[in-house]
Amino acid sequence: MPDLFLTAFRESLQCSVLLALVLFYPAVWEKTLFRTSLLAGVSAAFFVGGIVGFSPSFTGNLLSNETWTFWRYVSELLIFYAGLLFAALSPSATKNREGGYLPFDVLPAALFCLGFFLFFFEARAVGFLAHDVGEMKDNLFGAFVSVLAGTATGFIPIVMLRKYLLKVPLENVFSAASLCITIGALQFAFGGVSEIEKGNILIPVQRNLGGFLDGWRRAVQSLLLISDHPFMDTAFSGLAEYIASDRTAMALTLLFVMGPPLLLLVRIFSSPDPLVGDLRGGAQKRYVVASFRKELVYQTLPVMTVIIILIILLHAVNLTLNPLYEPSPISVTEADHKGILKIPFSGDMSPHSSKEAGNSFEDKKLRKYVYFYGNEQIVFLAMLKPDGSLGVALDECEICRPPDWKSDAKGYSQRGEHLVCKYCMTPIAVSSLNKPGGCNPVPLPFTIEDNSILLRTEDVTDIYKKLQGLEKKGTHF
Amino acid sequence: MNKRLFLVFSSWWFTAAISLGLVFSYIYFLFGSSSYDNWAFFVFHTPAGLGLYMGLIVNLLLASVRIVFRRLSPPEIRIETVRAMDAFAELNDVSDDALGKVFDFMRLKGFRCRRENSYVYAGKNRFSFLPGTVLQVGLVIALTASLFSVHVRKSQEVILREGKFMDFPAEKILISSISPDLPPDFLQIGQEDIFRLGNVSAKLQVFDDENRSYVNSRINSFGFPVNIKGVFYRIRGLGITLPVELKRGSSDLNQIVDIDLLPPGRTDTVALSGGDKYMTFALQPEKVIAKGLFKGKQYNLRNLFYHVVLRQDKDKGNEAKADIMEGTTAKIGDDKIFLGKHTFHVKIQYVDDPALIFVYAGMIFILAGIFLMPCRFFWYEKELLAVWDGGLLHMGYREEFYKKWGIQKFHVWLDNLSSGNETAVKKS
Repeated sequence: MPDLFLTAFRESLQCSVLLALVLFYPAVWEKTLFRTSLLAGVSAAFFVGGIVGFSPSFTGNLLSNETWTFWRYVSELLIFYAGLLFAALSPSATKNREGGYLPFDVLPAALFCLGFFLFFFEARAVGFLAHDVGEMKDNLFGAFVSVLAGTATGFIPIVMLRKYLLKVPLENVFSAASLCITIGALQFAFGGVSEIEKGNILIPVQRNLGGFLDGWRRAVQSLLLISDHPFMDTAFSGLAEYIASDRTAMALTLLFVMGPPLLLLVRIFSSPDPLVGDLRGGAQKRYVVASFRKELVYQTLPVMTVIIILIILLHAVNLTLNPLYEPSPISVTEADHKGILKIPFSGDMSPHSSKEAGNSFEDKKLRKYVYFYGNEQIVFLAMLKPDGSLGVALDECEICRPPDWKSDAKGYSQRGEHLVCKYCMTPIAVSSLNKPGGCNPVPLPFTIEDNSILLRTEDVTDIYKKLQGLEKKGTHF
Repeated sequence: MNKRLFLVFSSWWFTAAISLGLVFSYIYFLFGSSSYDNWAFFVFHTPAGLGLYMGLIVNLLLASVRIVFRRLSPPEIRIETVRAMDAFAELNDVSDDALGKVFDFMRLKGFRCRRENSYVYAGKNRFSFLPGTVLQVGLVIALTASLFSVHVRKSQEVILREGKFMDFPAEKILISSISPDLPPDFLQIGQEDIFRLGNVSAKLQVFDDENRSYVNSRINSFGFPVNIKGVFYRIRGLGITLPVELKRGSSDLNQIVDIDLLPPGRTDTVALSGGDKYMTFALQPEKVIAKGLFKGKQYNLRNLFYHVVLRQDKDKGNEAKADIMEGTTAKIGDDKIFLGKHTFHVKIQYVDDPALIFVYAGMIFILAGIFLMPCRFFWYEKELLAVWDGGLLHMGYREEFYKKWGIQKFHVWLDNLSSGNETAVKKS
């Protein structure tokens, strides 16, 4: 079962990357007890997680996949924010305390827990997937063996490269705080087992922050006796609406995830230069200060990496929560009307459309249609403009001509009250439909009769052929 | 022991711990629906939640007290205090008037200086704790008042017509006039509801037991509620009051109905007296205007035009319909209906909450604190302490923020002040 093998391999490889960061940290590697505790945690996670996921008696009686995902998110956030705790406990951003940040007795247990939670949820999900696939293919043993083999293979790189990894000066780059934050951010980026869990952690974080803001806003308005009303203006209703908006939720999410790495960065750069007054010789003084500043730069590397990872994740959240709306094109033919393409106002081409004339396009949603012209498909769009008139145009831009290998970037989508060119992502005001030029879709001449949009086929094909004949970007009709 | 407890309960660690407790409790409620409402119930009505909530209030209060005392009380003049500062130096081989030099130097830098025989203390921006303290005090007041408000508030909504008395628990009130701020007409386009009223106000009179009016006030829908003798009044709805006459043969039914027909397009059903008939009202547009693909309905809001449905059963069966302008008579099924000229009624929210005024006060403090907080970027405490002890001058410097620059600044000053040989023991 190659898919299962690859999934297990991928998850264990990701785990081994995280494990390597902690295991080969000198403060952990040099003490047998710490090393053993960490590895014991990882092994326990593998066994317990695998059994919980694979065994049907556990699967049926324990939590659902969604609840496991939720607790995975909680554990990743805890690891991420543990960095803040270490930053608060540390006397300085650069010096790592000799005795560690926690009492010695607690450290082995803490490392065991860290090792456990690095891999437990992924092991459970892989076990669950293995059981599912094994049941479907009626080969549970084969599934089990595939998962074992994949997991073992995923750890081979770390075993083989351990001598080289030990030579990497992790203690010069990572402090305990930046190590926690890096592990947390990498866990956010890796996500769970994508075959079962979709989306990244920041999506539910933003949704739940938005939900909290909305509830809090309503509660405060009710407390102050300024609750919203369906049709009467109330004090500060605009402010309340802004507070409960997606934009504020996004800003809070940004603050929530970017706060720890930015605080670490500030802490690193606010570290005072070492005192060199008692050193003799200017060269020695300069050497000490330069070494210190070089160490600071190294210390910023993991934090900057975390910031880049988080920016990418936040961008993905923004795209997920504000998706481009692109309807599938509806096929149109000349049918009874030779030379004329007829689109009823309902937008629904079925003869049994129950929509009354006059209710069409009022949802202000983009509609696309396709006319088959020989071997080619001419896609055009129609949309209601703010002034109540219709805009009809080809689903192509005069300027943006994506290459053939990126043909799905051709045309337009809708985001809110704008059309967006999928290739250059330029937003276009809907009110400018039917106007040629710039990034606007190429307009098509049309008339309205009998509650339908009528286009002459000859007009559509002529304009389409002229557009295809343009060789250079930016060439206008 | 008391001091230790005070330090624990006033520490920011304690604030962080309580905040984490509140966060985790919210996460617990995320599993169900209405997570915020359930969490609010937990916080305000369960022992654990109340413990966290009141712990937060106590913590913020004690933290404010700690900060204010620390900032206003004179510093301990000891060598240990100097050594505990961000940067310090111990200078030997200094002149006898070293303290004088330090005093003059710091005064030139704009510090407020105090000099005794064996020490010089220089401080700046001593009251920079105020913005944060104002914010914390606001939080304490708002949180405490909110807790009381949740438990003691009594709220009621009543419908009052113009000229109608209402007996409230404490007094009798009369709405003498209603100003609905309705436009003369309203054009409704598509499915969007753009009917908005800026402010609906009503004149309210409060009477004592002998029917003497002793308060005249205007209550509004916009803005904050009006406080009349400790009770808050606010308009929460506007509706239409309509005299209805229904005739069938010799039988006559006269009734004044209160109906919610705003925004136009809404329907409302009332039971007619006798209990066997129900009447559904809706406003009818005066005309329908088409522009492009849009169809707009224009409603005349001065002379209302109604669509009336009369039925035996509330939900179904035996319907008779009529479109009728107010002030006219029309046939509806076997009956004749007359609709009189409409007036208005308001839905008034009456809130008895002694803590509400403190909630408002707390919010004002919070807003003031938030407004003042940005000045903390440049308004923060700076202090220098120089202690002369047995031929050694111990000098230390501390800034509340931007410590790195403060330390660098101190060493520059030290070079300016130093006479040459120094044994510098620097804080790491």
